[in-house]
Amino acid sequence: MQAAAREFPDRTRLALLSAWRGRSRGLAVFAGVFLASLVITTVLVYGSGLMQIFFLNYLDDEYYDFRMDFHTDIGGKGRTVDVALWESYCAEYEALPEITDCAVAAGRQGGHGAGWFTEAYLKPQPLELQAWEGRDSDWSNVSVFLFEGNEEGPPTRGYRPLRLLGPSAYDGELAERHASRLLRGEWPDGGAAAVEQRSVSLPSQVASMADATVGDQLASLTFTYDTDASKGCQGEEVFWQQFSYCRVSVTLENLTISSIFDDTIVTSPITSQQPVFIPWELVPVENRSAIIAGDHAYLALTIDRTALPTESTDSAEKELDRIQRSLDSVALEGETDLDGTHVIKDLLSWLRIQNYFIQIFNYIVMIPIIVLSVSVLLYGLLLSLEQRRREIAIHRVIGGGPDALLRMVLGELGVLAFCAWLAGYLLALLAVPLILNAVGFMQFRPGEYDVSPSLGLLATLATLVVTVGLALLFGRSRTRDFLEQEISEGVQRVVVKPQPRYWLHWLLFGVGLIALADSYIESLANDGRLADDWEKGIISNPVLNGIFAVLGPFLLWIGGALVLARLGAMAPGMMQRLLGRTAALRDIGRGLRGSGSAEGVGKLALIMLLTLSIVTMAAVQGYTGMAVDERTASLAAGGDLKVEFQQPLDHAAALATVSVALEGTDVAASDIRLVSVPLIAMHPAGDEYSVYQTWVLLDGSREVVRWDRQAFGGDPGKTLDRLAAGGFSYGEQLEFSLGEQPQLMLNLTGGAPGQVTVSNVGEHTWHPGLDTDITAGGIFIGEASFRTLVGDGAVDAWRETTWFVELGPQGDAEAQSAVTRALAFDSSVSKVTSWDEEHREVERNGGLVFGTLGLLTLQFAVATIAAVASSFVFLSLVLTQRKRELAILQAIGASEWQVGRLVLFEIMSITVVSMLLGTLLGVGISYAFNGMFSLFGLIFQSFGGASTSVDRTLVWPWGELLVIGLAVLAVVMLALVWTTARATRSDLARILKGE
Amino acid sequence: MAEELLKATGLYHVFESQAEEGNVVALRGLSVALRDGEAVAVVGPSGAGKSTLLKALGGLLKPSAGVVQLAGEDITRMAPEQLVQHRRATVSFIFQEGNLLPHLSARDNVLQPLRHAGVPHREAAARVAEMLDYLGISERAHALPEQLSGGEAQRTAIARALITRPRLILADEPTGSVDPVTARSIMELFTRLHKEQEVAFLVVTHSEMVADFADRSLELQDGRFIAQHGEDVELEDLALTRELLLDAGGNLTLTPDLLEELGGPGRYEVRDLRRHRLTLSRVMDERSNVCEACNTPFDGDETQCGNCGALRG
Ligand SMILES: Nc1ncnc2c1ncn2[C@@H]1O[C@H](COP(=O)(O)OP(=O)(O)O)[C@@H](O)[C@H]1O
Ligand SMILES: [Mg+2]
Repeated sequence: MQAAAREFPDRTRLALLSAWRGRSRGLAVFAGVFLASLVITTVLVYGSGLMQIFFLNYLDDEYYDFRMDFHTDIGGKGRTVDVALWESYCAEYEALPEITDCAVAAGRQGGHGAGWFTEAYLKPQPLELQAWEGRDSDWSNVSVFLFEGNEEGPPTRGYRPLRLLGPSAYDGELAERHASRLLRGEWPDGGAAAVEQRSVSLPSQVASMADATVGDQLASLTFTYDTDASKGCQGEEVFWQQFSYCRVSVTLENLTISSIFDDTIVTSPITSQQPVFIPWELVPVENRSAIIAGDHAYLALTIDRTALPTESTDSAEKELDRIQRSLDSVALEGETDLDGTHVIKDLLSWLRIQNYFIQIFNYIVMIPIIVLSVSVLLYGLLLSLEQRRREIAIHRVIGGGPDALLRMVLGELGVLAFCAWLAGYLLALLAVPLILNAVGFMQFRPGEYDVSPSLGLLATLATLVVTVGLALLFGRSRTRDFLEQEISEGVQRVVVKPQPRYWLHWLLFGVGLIALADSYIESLANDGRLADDWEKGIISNPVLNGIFAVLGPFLLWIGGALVLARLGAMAPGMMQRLLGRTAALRDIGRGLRGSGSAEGVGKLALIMLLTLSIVTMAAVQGYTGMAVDERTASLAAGGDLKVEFQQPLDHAAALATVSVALEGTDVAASDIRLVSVPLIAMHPAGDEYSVYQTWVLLDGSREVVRWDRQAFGGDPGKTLDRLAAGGFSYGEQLEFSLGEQPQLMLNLTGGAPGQVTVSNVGEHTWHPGLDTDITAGGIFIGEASFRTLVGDGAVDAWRETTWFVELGPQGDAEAQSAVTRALAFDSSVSKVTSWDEEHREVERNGGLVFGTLGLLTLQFAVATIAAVASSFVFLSLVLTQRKRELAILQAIGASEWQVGRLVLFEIMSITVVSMLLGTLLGVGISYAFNGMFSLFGLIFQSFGGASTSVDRTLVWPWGELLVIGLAVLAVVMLALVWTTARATRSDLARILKGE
Repeated sequence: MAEELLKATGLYHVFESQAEEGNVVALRGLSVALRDGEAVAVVGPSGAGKSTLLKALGGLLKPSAGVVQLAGEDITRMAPEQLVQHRRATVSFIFQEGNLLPHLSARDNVLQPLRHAGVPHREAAARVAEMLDYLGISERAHALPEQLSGGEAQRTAIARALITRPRLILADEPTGSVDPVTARSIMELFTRLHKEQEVAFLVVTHSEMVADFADRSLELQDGRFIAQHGEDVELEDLALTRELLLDAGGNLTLTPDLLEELGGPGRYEVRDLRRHRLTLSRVMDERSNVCEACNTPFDGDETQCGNCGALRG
């Protein structure tokens, strides 16, 4: 032990020294471990970051973390109606270290049972707003009913809810959370100020309906609560569904609107309706006591959310459960028994399922790049250990024992691999937040989510073991081989290189090709370019089909790379046969015949194929995913904005409203354009019973609406031209009745005369911004036909509720959201959809998963780096091995330039051919993977609730691929020039003598 | 006479090869013995099996058949780790090219055997400094092998061989790649070590000068010793001598022409044995049916093993 310690400095110095001096061969190992560590860590960290984002995202929508309710039902034990006592409980909870704030609150009654759709779930009702009266503006038509009230969560009677907040909701953490949601005004500064101001905070929808602003007064506001009716009901008895309630009403007077908050943020189903906030202390004490008795009152608690572990839902839930237990164990004065409920517990289980699918998908997506980095690692090790063979022999001659030598090699390898692992690991930690902020392929919007994903100790160790462990394991078996061979060098046993199993490569490739053909035929059939009989592809058995869909792409990839790599390695021979007749290449042919570097170069071909096929696949799927996301956003928003008015408006009125909302943005009123899609009813001449819903695509729609290839299945511009020139298109449901009709003579249905003849231009799939299901049952015609039917005057004065807006060159995301917000306040507008917000929403839930484009970007970047780096590293290693051969060529009279040209020709032909083959393979696996991507896309869409399925028609980014190809070639050239120069310039005699 | 330091008997070695020529038999039943402090030269044409012999004697290569006893222990049957220990204590190698570790400085190269032997660093460093001084390469101690001249590199290699204080040095053409002046100084060094420290040498060489340094020379051809020469024997005369070596292992090696004269390989019986005199006569029937080197049965009347090429005994 002591001896070892004494020798440590010398040994360390030596290990570092030889690692440094042997860096060129170490580079390959470093690159391999680095890539593997980067990729594996990223995938793991990404999972944790995603969970964090989801978690924070949903948490953000909740004001509270826990609520405390009576343990027993109304009339049970352990309850109190003492207002002062109730208000004092917060102090006891705030004494817990985990609790950052606590306030008395009242709103929806507490449920005392578990499970959905039980009485405890269905019966509790909120405090209901019954009436309000304005002072500064007219509130008479501001409804207290919520029409969408029953959409989510447990049913309510449909009145807008009210929430009473105790004084400490106006300071500390709770105040901060409320303040962060405000659009206008200020959250009162402390409980006393809230009472003094007689503050009321309104949802923006209410404020916009009432046309009220901050500072306006409400003359009165009346709400009701349900109370304990065990001793006879003091108020009004109400029966609703199968329950009875005893409702007492309270009227508050002279309230001032202190703030207006954003009510578009969707909260969890339980609290989906946006309440009006009023201070608890404005309510008379006796009512407060009754509200407590009626189970409306609870304590709203907050915790430090950033302290929640987010690497898994389990750990978060465990922590929440722990906090809940410590809340439940607080002994309260008066033997009151309160239960803590975690507000987002239901959400957690939902998140868990979703995250599970996402993770599986991401692991699958990242498999190729993991395989790639591991193979770079293994080949790097192979080459670099090969270079140590002679050195190990020398060590053995001068008395190095096998064990000591093994330790030495592994020590060096270990240090190198550890550094590489660390570098990859740290880079991954830095890269993941960026990936999570990806808004498209190679596009980022940093800072949108503030996450600090990290890996647990176990997962970190796992990445270490997988990368460094693999390097050491492989290094050990190789070194052992050397050591054994050296002792019995040449004796009895000649190391026969096992023949690669080519039949296996071909088998993999073949099965992969079948899967590709299957998925390609399916996509053709779905596109309608092949008969419907082919919809199930070649493999109709669903189980087999599923297996092929998931495994096929990988088999195709690996088998294809192995098979095609042989072709790549044969490139110089083929090229020479092709070009050998030319004078310039004749001597090269002579040189090549003797070159024996096929093996190392064959591996280079394989790596090139693997990397470039991934580059291609990642780019294609990345751009396709982006196109799908954009297409989905266009499908929802139609144009930059889709504005739905309360009443039908004509163009001038709609334009005027939108123009007002432009205030404060860079968009000029003259830049914007609006268009609607007039909807009329028509029937074929003489057949009044088959009425077609007919949408008119006005000429302006070409610029305003975000058209997409999928809309008509082809160039939308051409179809629009033909519609404008008197054509019609029909929806999918009308294919039978109209598909074969070259022309249609149409009459206006319902009174007004008018007839037009239109010619068939084919089927439409959808119109951006309109409901796909409805347009599938109707027809589209152009503006000219419309004018013929109803006359110019009617067209120009046409009124529609839905208008699409194009904001012009200044209409960026910021402008869109500003205009959206401004329009939301306009009482004539019922709904605004902005393309940009829709796009963000889609990135989160729709198309593919949140951040998948980021992962594909990572894959693309890593594969590109791997292509460039491995070509460099491998070339310099291969050429170092060939030094002697090159020196011999020089010694027998070849000039430096001739030698250089020989190497250049050989390597370049291999690289170029492998790159072309790799891109080809990438095209294949892009198709093969598409089936899987749309499958998962469907799953995620169903989670996100999107209904219209959007095609995954592949987008081919040839330009980007060309740039990468050229970059790789450039690096190969550089590496070549560098290493060849080194090889040809070094001392000939010494090289020839050595070894 | 000092005790025997190295004693090899019946060494066969076959290099298997898939080339058309088939297997190569590098050693054909060699026996050799070396006393403590003795200097022996091995001479012979290229491809005679000199390097193979040296490797087999030093335990770097396990002969196909035969026994090598080094300092009284059979090294052909040792476990790898034990063999390394034993070699470390007894022999060192010097090759034609320095075979220095390319990433280590001259000093670290010399230090390396002591590191392997587990000598404490401080003591090792002192010994290395002394050794470098002794060989006159102290100024070049920090140079990397590629920065050393041929002579410096070779002297570094010698320093590395000597640093473990071996009893035997196996050198394979140690002066083969240096200029005559350096060669002379290396040989002077060998002589000094031989005389002053009684180190035993087995030197493979083409050089007369080196052979002169040895107490005796052994001539090797086609994997067999064909002659032994004392200090007075002229190198040019080797081909003319008809002296045969009956080695300590009891093996008698004949040159091919003698063998042919006798009637080829086969079994002989002793007809007449007296002191200093031996008469053999051929046994015409029953010959050994398996190859001594690789245990392959002979096929019919073959005189050479079909598998390894060894001559039929
Ligand atoms: N590793 C090996 N594999 C196959 N044959 C070998 C090997 N090493 C040496 N040989 C052959 O063995 C014979 C003796 O070689 P070697 O001992 O190197 O001769 P020398 O040193 O006398 O020139 C030669 O024919 C050589 O070709
Ligand atoms: Mg030799």
